[in-house]
Amino acid sequence: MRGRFAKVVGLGLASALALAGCSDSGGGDGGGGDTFKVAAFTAGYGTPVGKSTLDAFVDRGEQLGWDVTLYTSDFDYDKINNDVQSAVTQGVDAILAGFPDPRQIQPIVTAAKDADIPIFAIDGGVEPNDDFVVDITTNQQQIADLTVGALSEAMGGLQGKNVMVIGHDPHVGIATRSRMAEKLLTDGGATIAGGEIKQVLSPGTSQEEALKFVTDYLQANPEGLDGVWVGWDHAAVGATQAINEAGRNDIFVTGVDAVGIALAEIKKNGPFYATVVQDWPGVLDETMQDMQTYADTGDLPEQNFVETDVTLVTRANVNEIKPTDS
Amino acid sequence: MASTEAPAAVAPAAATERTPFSQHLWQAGTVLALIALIILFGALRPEAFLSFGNVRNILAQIAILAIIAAAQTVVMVVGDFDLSVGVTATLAGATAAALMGDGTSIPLAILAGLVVGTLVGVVNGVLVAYMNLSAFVATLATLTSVGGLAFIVTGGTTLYGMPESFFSIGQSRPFGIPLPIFFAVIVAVAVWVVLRFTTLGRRWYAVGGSAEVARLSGVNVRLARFLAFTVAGFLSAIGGIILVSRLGSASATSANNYMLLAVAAVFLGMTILRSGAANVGGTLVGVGIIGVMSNGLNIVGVSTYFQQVLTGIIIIAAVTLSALKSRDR
Repeated sequence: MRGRFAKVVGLGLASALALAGCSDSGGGDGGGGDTFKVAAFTAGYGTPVGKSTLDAFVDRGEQLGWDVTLYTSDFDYDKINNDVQSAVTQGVDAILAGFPDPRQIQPIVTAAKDADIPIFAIDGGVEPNDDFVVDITTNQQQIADLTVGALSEAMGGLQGKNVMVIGHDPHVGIATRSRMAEKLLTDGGATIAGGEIKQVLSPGTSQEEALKFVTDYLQANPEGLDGVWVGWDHAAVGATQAINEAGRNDIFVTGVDAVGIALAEIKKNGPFYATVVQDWPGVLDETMQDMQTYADTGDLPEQNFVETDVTLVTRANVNEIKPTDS
Repeated sequence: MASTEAPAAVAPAAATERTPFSQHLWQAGTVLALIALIILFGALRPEAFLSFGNVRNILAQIAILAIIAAAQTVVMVVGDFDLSVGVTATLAGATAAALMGDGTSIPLAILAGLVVGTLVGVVNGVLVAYMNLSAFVATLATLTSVGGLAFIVTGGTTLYGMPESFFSIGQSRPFGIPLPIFFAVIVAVAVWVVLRFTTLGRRWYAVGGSAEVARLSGVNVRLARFLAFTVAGFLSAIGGIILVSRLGSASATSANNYMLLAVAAVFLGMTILRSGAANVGGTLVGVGIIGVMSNGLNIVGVSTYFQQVLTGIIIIAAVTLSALKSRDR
């Protein structure tokens, strides 16, 4: 009797967990033979921009009558590779790679090439890549130029200043712009605090990690920090918090992404001095246009690498900027 | 029969072949390691590392880990593991943040977060104690599901914009001491009192020592294990809510990393007692080692990659020490 009860309870709990764990997938209505079938994927669905962009892609694709299936993971490329390879086997017309690490999707690329399926990419790297029929991304050099320029403006120049650089090398875009910023800073006469780029281990805990980096560094070098350049906003918010808690108003921070929490910090006129808007809605527009053309005519984009401009966000224009994660 | 993964906790007075001096040295090894780390970093950067400000800084950095490690301690006292303490903390904090974002009052949102965390503990407790699932498998399953729930609650984004007064829980400094430190002390003392002075605590240790002997002695083993997981869920929720207040934001993974560190801290602490049982005092020493090492390595400028390697080595050392002690008994 007790055993049966336990099994019933167990099944009930499992069902509850399964139901609770169900999330929206981008699966369409199955479509007919003429339906344009797309397998979209991102391993960055746990990031605000990754989620909002891919969700928008699914919505807009379905509005266009496409059959879109979205595959996601939390930076688990093994899962993504398996899922999309299965999708390719089942038959799709095109693949949308959302914020992929091109180094980690070779099984997908091989399967797609074998099946003659084009891969359209959003932010698929920092240089042209023949794995994609088109990769539309943002201009990393411009991001580094604008943010380092803003930091220089806040600190009163770069010469002789100590600047901490916080990056995350597993992310191609962040790694690239971090190196670019490091070079711009040292070329301008600044010293990299700690001698090298501080590496955050996990984007999900980056705010707390950056908070500790800056708190500990200030503890050891109270007069040894003039600015913090950070490759993305959440970590920049952690750095800002550390500076605020240290009671300092002479150390400035820049980030990248223009997420809501970062814009809120900039509005406070505190240490968070500037961030950058990467025009992901615009990138998505262009990507969808290319895919629509392919769906209608079979024509592929002429250029396989497109860099779009970014916009610097400071106290001057922060009120006009819409958060990228809203 | 339920299987357990943590080394069995037994009552003290197990036989040993060591001399009293070597026994004491063995047991004091973890404390000595902490002292050695303090001396090492104090010698390398005395003006920075040994300052009052930095000690306060270290205590603030380890306060939330101490709370979540206390939760893990309770489960490991009964001889189990809880792999879901980190995601439970994340989900509880995210729930409170989401509700506050929707206009729910702060007390109600916090209460809801605590209830959610406790419910995860209840689910773990039912699966392990009443359905006889392995704690490893059961909490691995909840780790996955609860992690997914955290993404659903946050919508995959970062929640912020909670009322300013909520931030006082994690950011205020009464008497110059960060408030999370007080919470950590309260939780640690409460768990210590329950484990040391209450019937429930003794039953937990009895179950951890030998579930069969405890059962024959009249202990309701299922209930004891169920309560241990429930308490762990509740305590994890406290840690998660304080973390959200501390950061002023809630993401879908913000407290997940605490699970591994909490396990490491408990294992480190298990070497302190002659019996090799999990205990709050030892756990706090373990938490201290992790905190001092992280802070000290940051101050002397060691990269985070190397820090992660060292953390892994410390876990291996702690588990090895625990295993050696178990073998000696």
